[in-house]
Amino acid sequence: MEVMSNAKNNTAYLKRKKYNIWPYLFLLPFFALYTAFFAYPTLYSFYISLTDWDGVAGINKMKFVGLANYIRLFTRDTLFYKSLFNTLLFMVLYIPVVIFGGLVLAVLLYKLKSNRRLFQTLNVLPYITTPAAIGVIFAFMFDWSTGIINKILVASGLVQEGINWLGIGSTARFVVILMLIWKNFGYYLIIYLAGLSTIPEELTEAALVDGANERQIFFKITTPYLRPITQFLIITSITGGLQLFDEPMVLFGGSGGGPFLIGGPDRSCLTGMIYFYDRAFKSTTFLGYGAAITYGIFIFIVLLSFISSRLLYREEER
Amino acid sequence: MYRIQWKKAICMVAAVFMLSSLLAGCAGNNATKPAEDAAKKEETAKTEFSADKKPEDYNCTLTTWGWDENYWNTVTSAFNKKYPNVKFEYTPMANGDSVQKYQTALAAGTELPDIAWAIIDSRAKLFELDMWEPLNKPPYNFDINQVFDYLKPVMVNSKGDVCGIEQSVSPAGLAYRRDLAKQYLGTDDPAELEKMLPTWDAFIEKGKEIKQKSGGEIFMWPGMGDAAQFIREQNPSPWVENGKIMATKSLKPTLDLLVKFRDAGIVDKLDAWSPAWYASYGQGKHMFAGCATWTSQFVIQPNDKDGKGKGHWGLMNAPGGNISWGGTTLGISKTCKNKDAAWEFIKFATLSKEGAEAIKQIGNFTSAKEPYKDPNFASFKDEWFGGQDTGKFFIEQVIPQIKLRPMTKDDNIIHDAMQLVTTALNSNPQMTSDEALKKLIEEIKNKLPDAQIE
Repeated sequence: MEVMSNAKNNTAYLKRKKYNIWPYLFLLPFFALYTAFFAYPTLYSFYISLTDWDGVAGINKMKFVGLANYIRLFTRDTLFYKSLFNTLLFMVLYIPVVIFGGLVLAVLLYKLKSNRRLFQTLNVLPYITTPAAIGVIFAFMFDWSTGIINKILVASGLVQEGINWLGIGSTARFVVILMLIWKNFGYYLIIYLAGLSTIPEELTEAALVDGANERQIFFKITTPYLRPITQFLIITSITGGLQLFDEPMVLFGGSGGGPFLIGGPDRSCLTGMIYFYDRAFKSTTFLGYGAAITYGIFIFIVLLSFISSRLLYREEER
Repeated sequence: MYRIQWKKAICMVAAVFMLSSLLAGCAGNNATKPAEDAAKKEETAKTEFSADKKPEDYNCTLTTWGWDENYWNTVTSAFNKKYPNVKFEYTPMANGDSVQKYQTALAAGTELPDIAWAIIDSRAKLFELDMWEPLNKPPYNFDINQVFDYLKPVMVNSKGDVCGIEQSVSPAGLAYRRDLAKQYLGTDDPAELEKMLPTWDAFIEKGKEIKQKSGGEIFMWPGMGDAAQFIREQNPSPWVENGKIMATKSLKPTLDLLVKFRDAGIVDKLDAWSPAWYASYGQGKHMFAGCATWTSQFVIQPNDKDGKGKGHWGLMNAPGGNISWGGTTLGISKTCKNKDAAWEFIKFATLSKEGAEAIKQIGNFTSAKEPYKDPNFASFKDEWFGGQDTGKFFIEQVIPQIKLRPMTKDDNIIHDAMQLVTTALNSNPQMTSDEALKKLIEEIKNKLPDAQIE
């Protein structure tokens, strides 16, 4: 009986309530743009990835081949796996450095009484520098026969003759990692500085009164307080890191940097995104296969993001 | 009450404005059926050019995307003297990006440049794009016999249509530093040097001597890439025969020689086209360098700034013969709205005597045979080469020797693999040429898993 009357009341209420169109109307432009420029291209790329389409032959030569591209990608394509391995290697080596380094530097800067702005600016400058310019600078510095790094090493007697930094796989990777750290350090620093300003002063003061030293305050108060920021930075670094493209490209992409060699010596700096770009637009023009590569990378990004967020979440629960 | 209505009206207007701007944006993004669009445009285009148009009657703007602004400005300003009402819009583009840029414009149905360039490195692929006007057919009716015979195969696509005409010929010999040659080889006379260096083996022996005399300061080549480029093109056998990629036949001799160069220690460590490599042209530490018609203008002059009139450089026949190095064609795109004006320009730039005279100012030589009937036309004395007549050398000594490798659509993959292997040879002193070849084949296989490679 009571249920019946409730239902009646509800319909009456709905009839009374005027249906308001405005919120939908104002949301429409965003969703229309999102659909036109993001959702549709994403879905269409998936369709392209199911075709055998050489861009040069034109849109009329698009042939549907089902999962053939994916089968080749996951079973026969050694370069794809190599590119993912390289990307992961870069991430494993540079993300901990920028996260921990950014945190430590932020804490040190936060304590500075004078010149704080100056040091902040200096640290952020590389982050806002054009990647192409950074590529040229690093290529000059690490050049085998004329680079300043080799000149210093030889002059100081550390090595007999210059190291072929950009011509050997392992050292080329080192240069790319150095570029990544140097360029992105400022970003991590700024985010952590913003986070530090949210920690209540009373907490650290109380800890000091209780006899805690600087190290204890850093590990027991600062770090736990900044955990959400660290989590955010780790997740975004992983998703961003998997899309690594600029740094190896400006060094080895023939844009005035180092040697023109897609992916560097021995393809040691070939990242997933560079591999996709090279297969879809550069050395081959297989757009269908290129689209399959991007979806392959996408699967890895989803997997890695999922695993890392689970790990971080579990850590928090503990 | 009124106030509420006003609010409503403002909201309504704002919403309508947002929506209409969005729709306008979408309308501009109409990327459907570019082929149909092109067909429609073609229908409206004239099928025959009017014969009684005077040069001043051509009144339009022609667009292009290119990688040699100096050439473009030189040739268009000469053209404008005769055709004053044609304007040009030049957009810089790296030649390595050309396939991608044209392909993207085609796929999206956006405007292509009216006059399109095609570099030799990726020309076979570019010519397969459905974007070129066939210049050998009406209304153009271009007779390919007007250009040097050796260029004919690289101006046509697989259907036999002429998609572009070569801006200029690109013969290459060996440039040398006269000061170093005098100091270490006792002469800077090209004929004497050619006698002294008839083969690469003799070249290597001399290189060892120079290395010893100079205390390891002076090298024969700036880098392995330079040597590889030159030697590779001395053996222009086809990459592909009967559907097979002939890696061993066409590249093993080059790898053998590169290993010899490396082991003799006569090659410096610069990467071709890197900033340090460019700068080296002003430093006088490298005895030799490959030198095409465009090298002086592009590489030597900007980097050997105080070399004008000093005669730092000389030009000679290379051991093992000279080569063709580079080359770019000009063609008309299907979306061009003023095809008659574009054709007038291309004819002027590539086939006419005035065009040939204009590009000669910057050391470029037309690919058309006609102007060379004047025996003095080929003469060009380069101030960076001590007044040596490099023009005559290129046209009379190099061109008759040139054999061009047939183009294939996978050229750039083979170049890239070769580049990778050259880098590996450089960084690993123990690598033999057999190992290098194995690596090369592996690399090509990675990119072209279905190809047969020998």
